[in-house]
Amino acid sequence: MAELQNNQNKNKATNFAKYSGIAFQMLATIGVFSFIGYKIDENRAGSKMIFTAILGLVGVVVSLFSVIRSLNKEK
Amino acid sequence: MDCSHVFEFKFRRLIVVFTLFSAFLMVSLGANAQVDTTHKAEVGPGETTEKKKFEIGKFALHHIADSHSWHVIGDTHIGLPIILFANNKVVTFNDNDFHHDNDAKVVVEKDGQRFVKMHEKIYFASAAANEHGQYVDLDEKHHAKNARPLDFSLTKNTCTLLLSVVVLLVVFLSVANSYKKRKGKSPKGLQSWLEPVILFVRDDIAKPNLGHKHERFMPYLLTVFFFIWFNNMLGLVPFLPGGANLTGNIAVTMVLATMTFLITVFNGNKHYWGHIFWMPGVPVPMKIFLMPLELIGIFTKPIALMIRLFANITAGHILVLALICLIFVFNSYWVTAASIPFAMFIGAIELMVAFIQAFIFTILSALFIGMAVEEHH
Repeated sequence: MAELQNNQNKNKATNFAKYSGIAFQMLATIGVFSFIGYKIDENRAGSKMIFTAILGLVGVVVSLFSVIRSLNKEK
Repeated sequence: MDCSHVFEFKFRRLIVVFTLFSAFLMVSLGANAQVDTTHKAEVGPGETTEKKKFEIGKFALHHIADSHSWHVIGDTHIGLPIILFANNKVVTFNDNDFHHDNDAKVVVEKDGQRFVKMHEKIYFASAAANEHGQYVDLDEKHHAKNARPLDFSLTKNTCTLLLSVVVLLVVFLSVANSYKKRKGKSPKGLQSWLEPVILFVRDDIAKPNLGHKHERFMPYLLTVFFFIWFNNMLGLVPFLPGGANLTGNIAVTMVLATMTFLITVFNGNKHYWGHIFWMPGVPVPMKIFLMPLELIGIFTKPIALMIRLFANITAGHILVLALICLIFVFNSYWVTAASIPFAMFIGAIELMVAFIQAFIFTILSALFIGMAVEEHH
């Protein structure tokens, strides 16, 4: 019983770390996608930052998707 | 030692509320303080009608940035050595040669090459000064266009890094020695202070995430934990050997995150890579769809590690500095009554943050490595 309690406590600490990481991970995902889009736009002759916008949006979708997936995976 | 009760603390809600409150306060004050940055009236002492506005943002950012000199107190600075690799030649001189100039107005000539310092960056000096007396060419955004030599200087952060290495070596060699000398006996002195922390890293970070393979990764996890923790603490010391913002430097956190990334990648077994490139148990179109997502996930995890440590420590430093700056913004002794207790409160929170950030970096590293080495079941 004591061991179970201990395990739960440990899980709590791990979960705290993991879930506090999710926000930053979303941020990083969106950042990486926007950065790729920005680089594409930089090398493209066009004046509108269309790839930054599209890939930024894709980044939002992907980050949401991966968060939901990682939440479903645990139990 | 089980520290998870830290996270159930009611105190934390208080911290969030307080942080939001001070963030709003800072934004509005910062906006006020930076209204007329161009207007720099030279005021003599005793003149009270026209005051130079105190630039809180500039001040705070200057203090958290890396620097070629180390501020002691008042106008006293320790000039640190500057080591440059310019045109295939190593050039060394001391930062004092710039006479505290940081606007490219003083040229240092050494070995036939001319250098200026602007915003803590060393540039090759232009032949003639521009209209502001600066020996650099500025673009429309007021950034210098001059070429830069390779800068290997011992800066404030580098010195702190070396200092923390010395501190870590002294502490842990003495602890290791006492384990050798007092084998089988109860711990004593420094040893009894660090033993619970080492066991905490092993029992609460490594074992739950890495299982029976934890011993292989203990050296890395312990090193990262104590390196971050000690440097966070050193950054909180307001006087000379401390005060540098080492773990709040994104280059430092990037190196730490890169190490975790490399260990994860090189220790990944076939199940780990299988879950990335060809997810088992889902239909084929889904497998193809998931591949790029998982692939990007490999990179976003260490990037998140890097940003978190950098952001948390930098934010802490800025918060304390901003609270102290309030005194100078309002230019009144009465503000001290509010800002000093607040700064002390944040300082106490920062002591906790120093530990929690080291803990989170280590536990997430362990988690990522654990995912890579996990046996299939």
